[in-house]
Amino acid sequence: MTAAELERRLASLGLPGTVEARGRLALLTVRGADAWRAAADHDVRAAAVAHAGELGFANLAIELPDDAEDSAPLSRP
Amino acid sequence: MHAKEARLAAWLREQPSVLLGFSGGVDSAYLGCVALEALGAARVLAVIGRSPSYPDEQWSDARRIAERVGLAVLEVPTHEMDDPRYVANPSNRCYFCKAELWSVLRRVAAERGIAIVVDGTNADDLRDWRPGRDAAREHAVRSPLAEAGLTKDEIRALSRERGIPTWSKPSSPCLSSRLPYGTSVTIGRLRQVERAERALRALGVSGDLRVRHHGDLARVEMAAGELDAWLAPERRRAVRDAVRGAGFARVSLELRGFRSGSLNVLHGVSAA
Repeated sequence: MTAAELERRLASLGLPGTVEARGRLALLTVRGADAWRAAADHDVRAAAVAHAGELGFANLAIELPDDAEDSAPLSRP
Repeated sequence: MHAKEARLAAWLREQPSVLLGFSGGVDSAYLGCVALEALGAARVLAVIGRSPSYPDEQWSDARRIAERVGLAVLEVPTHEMDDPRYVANPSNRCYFCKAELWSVLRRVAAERGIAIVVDGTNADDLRDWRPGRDAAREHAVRSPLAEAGLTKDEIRALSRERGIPTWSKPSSPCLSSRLPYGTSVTIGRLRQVERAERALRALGVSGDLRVRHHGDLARVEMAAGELDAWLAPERRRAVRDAVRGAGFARVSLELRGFRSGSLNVLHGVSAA
């Protein structure tokens, strides 16, 4: 299981963000309206879940952040 | 399907009397109705084993359904929370819960001279990871729905034909099933999950719903078809606030949607 690889794959689907590995649960945090629009698309979700499964995660959940973070663009180091 | 129902009714007619472990769910409500028809009201007793691991609504709902279909019902408390083996929440936790339940119901049956104790296990259940089945076997509890080969879909269809109100009721396993194995079962955690699920229902979440407890994090599973709508900005914020109100610091939505036994998969107890 590699959170960094899953982050890379999810970003390619339009879900840029950070992945926190909690055992076999991958917890995705995204920011920005575009990422949330992508998350609301059934096909994108199905592809994201498939990637998580390929990398050994049993579950993929998306965090529901505070209002300020919900609409802010993702800042990466 | 109807041939299986006929086999079920024939088996029930051979019994002098039955005590039914009753939850008010699809399976036990259907079995109760067929048993009433086969044996008459005087020879069927539905018993609710009241456990703190179920929400209060479960019991009021079960009483209402029993009354509606004409089942005599008795409520008895169960005390699995006093058993440290249950509280430790191992992967066979259900065994300790069911051992307590069937021990209590066996005692009731003996006191009342009831010959047979039955449960609502169906044919599909036999294919799942169900450590509680061992406890049922040890207490000689029969599972006539499974023995007749009736699947969940068939039971729903037959219930609908009979006008039993539970035909479309979602499955509702105990609240302890929301805690990962190894996370101890406490009244506080159970009530936290109960409050979160109740708040989500009040928002309008329908169909299958589970709030999985991961310590500070809640992972909400809802029917996959509901996700498009609940990921919209205003609605996802409402979900977040509802679940935080139950005492979770962080809230997440499972992108796969609801999956029965998802914590079993997470722990490698069953396949993904």
